[in-house]
Amino acid sequence: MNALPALLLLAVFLPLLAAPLMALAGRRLGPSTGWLALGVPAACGLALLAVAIQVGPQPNLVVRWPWAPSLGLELAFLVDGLSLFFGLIVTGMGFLIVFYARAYLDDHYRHHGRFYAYLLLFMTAMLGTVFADNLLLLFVFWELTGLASFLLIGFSHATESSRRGARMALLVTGGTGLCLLAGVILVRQLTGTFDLQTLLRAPLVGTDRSLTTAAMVLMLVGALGKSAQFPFHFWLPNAMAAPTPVSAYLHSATMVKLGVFLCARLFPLFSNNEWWAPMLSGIAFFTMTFAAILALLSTDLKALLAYSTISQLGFLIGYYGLATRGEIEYDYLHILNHVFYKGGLFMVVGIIDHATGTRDIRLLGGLARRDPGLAVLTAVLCATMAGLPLTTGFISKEVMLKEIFHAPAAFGGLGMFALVCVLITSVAKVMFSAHLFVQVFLGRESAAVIDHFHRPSRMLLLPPALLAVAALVLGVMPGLAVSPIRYLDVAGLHLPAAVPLALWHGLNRELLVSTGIVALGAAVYFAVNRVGWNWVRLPRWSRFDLAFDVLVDGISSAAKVITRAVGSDSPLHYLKIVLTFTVVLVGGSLLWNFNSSVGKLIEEFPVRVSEHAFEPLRALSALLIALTTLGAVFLRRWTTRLISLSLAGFLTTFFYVLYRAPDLALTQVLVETISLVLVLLLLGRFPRTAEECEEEDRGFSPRKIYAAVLAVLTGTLMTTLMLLVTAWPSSKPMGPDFLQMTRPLAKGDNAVNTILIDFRGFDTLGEITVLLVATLGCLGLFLRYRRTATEWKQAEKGPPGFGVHHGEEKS
Amino acid sequence: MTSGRDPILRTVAVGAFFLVNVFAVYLLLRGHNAPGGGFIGGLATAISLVLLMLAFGPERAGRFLPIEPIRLAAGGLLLAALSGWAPALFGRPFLEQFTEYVTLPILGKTALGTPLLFDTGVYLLVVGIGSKLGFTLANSTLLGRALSPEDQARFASAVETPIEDTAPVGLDTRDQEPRN
Amino acid sequence: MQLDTSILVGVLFACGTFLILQRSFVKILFGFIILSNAVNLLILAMSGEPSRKLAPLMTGESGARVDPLPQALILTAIVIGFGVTAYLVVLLYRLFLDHQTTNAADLYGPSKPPEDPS
Repeated sequence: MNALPALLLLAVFLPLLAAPLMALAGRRLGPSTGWLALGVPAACGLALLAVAIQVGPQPNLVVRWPWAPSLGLELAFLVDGLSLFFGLIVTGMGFLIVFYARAYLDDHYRHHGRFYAYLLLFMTAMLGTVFADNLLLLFVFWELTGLASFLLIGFSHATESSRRGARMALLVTGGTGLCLLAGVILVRQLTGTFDLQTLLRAPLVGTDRSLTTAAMVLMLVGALGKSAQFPFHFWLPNAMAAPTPVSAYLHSATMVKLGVFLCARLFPLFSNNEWWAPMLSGIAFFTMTFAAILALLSTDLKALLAYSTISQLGFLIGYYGLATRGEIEYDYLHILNHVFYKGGLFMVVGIIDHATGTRDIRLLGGLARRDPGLAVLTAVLCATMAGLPLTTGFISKEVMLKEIFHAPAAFGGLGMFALVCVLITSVAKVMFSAHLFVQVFLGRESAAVIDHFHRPSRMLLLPPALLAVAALVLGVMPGLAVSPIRYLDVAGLHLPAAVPLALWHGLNRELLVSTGIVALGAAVYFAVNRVGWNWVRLPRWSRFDLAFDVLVDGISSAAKVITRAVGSDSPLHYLKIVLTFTVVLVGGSLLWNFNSSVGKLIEEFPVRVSEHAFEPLRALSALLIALTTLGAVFLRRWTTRLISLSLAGFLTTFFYVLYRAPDLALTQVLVETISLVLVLLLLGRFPRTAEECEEEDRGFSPRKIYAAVLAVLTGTLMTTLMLLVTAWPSSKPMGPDFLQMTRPLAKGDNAVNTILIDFRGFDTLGEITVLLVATLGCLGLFLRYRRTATEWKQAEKGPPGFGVHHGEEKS
Repeated sequence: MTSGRDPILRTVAVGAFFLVNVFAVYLLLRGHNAPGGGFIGGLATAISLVLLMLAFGPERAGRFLPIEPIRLAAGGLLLAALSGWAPALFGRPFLEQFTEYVTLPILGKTALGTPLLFDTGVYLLVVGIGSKLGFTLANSTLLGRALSPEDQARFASAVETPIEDTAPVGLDTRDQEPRN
Repeated sequence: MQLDTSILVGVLFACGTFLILQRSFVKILFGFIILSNAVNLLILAMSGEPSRKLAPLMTGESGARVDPLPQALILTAIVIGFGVTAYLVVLLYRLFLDHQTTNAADLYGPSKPPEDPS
């Protein structure tokens, strides 16, 4: 048991450590970086297998490392059937994909190192998400997958569609991810813990019903966004701009399945909620049907596969909606089946694209004669997708039908809806499976095939062939899958009974319906094909991405409109607006609550004043500071102003002494000195003529009067606030606690220093980082070079803005 | 503020430099128990360096602080962060501090331990950024050239040239006409 | 109630606000420095009436001590304020070099491109 935490840590973080290595090695090795990268998923997969063997059947174990215990944050990994299952898929599929990518990304692509670095980064993010035990940790890794996906979709960032797809994926999955965060925080508010294992053991009992529902809906929005379900479905087809290995890995086998994973994870927690079933099944089964029809109408092979992926994800998610607690049986089987055929088909499409230079289904045909091996492979994968016998697809469909037939009885109208959707989708699936195979491989050889075809590397065929073989073997002998699935059962999710799986269940209702579906699908397909397939076009609105673009562009146009309405993009005006609003809002709220604030203050003023309101020494130094500061405002020359200002600063030191703050007094003296030097250096460089100009400009103007009024109002407001706060000081200040603790806990006498260094050391670390960054920023300001004539021509109005004229505002 | 050719200023600056730094180290070491600490000590040292630079002229600033100030600052940040991470190696939370007292000559009872390491990190950082800012600004305003070629190579990207590269050294800016 | 400190903070805020609303670089810079001083004093007053209390050092005689937390906050604020002031100084210097002006209004007016240096 002892090696287990180390193995798990290795499995999750090895890819992260290896990622920068790949980026470095890529420069030297080029396409061969893939061989190096291959070792990482292999090592991770083996480590996970070792973990799975060590923990034994039906594991449920948490491995934790404290991180920031005071915040309730820890690095905690939950090892159970679900996380191991997904972890093994991620590493196993990762191995095949890296192998495939090595052959796929030949010399046409550059930056191989970067590609593998992103891919490995993604792998860590995936593994972190599935193993996370802490909900916050899960969220962090969850968003990291989105980030890695953004980098991978935008890998060929020179093309516009890549950039657009990447942006869309990031905004949609990142935005819905924020909903997940909100849900996570709400769960914490309700239960007081982020810990998944604790939550799963004691599902939300006795908590507020409506708030629980809100938390559930928020978290499910995150899941639906990641899995590209209905209102969010548009991002996945656009993400197909990624290189094909990425599509096969992220957008069919792993990342989009995170939504499914999250539903399975949260199932024991929320499945009793009355909104769980309608929300999940309603949205997911609708998406399933809708996406299947879109897949049928697509012409791009990758888009076809993307829509069929959305459809299948809809089924997998809806499946969790229509189940009762602790009675799920076959979810692993369905997921595994989808990984086999969809991962394989994506790789095949990549090969076709590679070999013919096109992915348009209308331009392809007759490939079977050119490459019979590829044709056989595709036939097996398409048969799996269609659910023909002897494949895992068939087994999956059998059990799916068996379960869905019970749904109308158990869930009424919702079950009926699901049943109809499943039947329609199954027919559509048979149709587009046939469509894909027939159009690409049979018929006459098209021009694209004749002109461009070159035989793909055998290396490319190996990974999809492995997947096809797996689909066949498990399809013929489904019993083999039973014991691993049982081994990874999760309590509260799965039915703790034997899973009967067999090729031949006897002549029953499922078999008949299944045969009917295949027959109907084939018949409709060939009937439509005879009429001519290409007459149907995918309606543009159905893709929803236009609406998304309008929305995103709308934000910047709205900003433009508002800026124009406000009148100027010169920051000189903003400050006035901000200050006016502050004075009006804060002062207004004080007047609004006059009786409880200012009125009370006036009433009790004589009493309060008698409590040390005036200390002669303090009042005197306050007077001196005020006078010198006023001098800095009203004196004539720059130097005299500066001297006045410094005097005020040094007098402030004395004020600190009066307030019993020796540390502050020391710091103030030193900071004042060094600031004085810097300001003097600056003033020395400013021309004298400018100073003379300023001196002449001493008259009154409306702008100055307004500034003066605003200044006086701000000052009055601050004085009032200060009086209010100091008249009724907090009854429970935190400071005395620090005073009490400084000796026993921090072993220091100076409480200010121990707060800075010990109690709030993290803040100080942040602070000194800020200082360093500010200095680097200063150096950057020295370095930036003069604006060239070309730059001026591009922005004749000075700094870049919204093109609002502001010449007339000069004073 | 002409770059110092004044012998009296030089003598005073050198004397002050040693005095101030003895005091700065004293402030740093006793910070845990009495007023003082990394910020204050660091500022004092930085001011003494800037004073020295003003007395001897910015062109000789490199001689007083042979290490690149930004490296000093980065090293300080690293030291502070590492002293925070060190407890994590022994399974303790990040930034947990440990202190032991020893009695040293002159200083008396002194707290040694991770707080001192952390404070020293702060000290180095403040010295680094304070002197770098002072040196660079003085270089630029007094000599017309903000960054030496080495600094240019270190902090700028290869395609950039410094803004003041063409400005003549010793330019009297007071004669320039502003545009307002 | 600390009437003197409250009035002082009010005066400082008024002076600082007036200055940062001006166009001159020097005035803006001075206004910024005054404002950061004002905020420090504001936080300082939160440590309560200091008369007859001791500094927050746990040595020597026992007795009431002032609240150390606002002091720690101000120490941070002074140092960060210094960093930002330094940045502002360099920024203004940089603007002066680029635009040959010390008046912020000139930055946003229509201007002519410089001669091509090449």
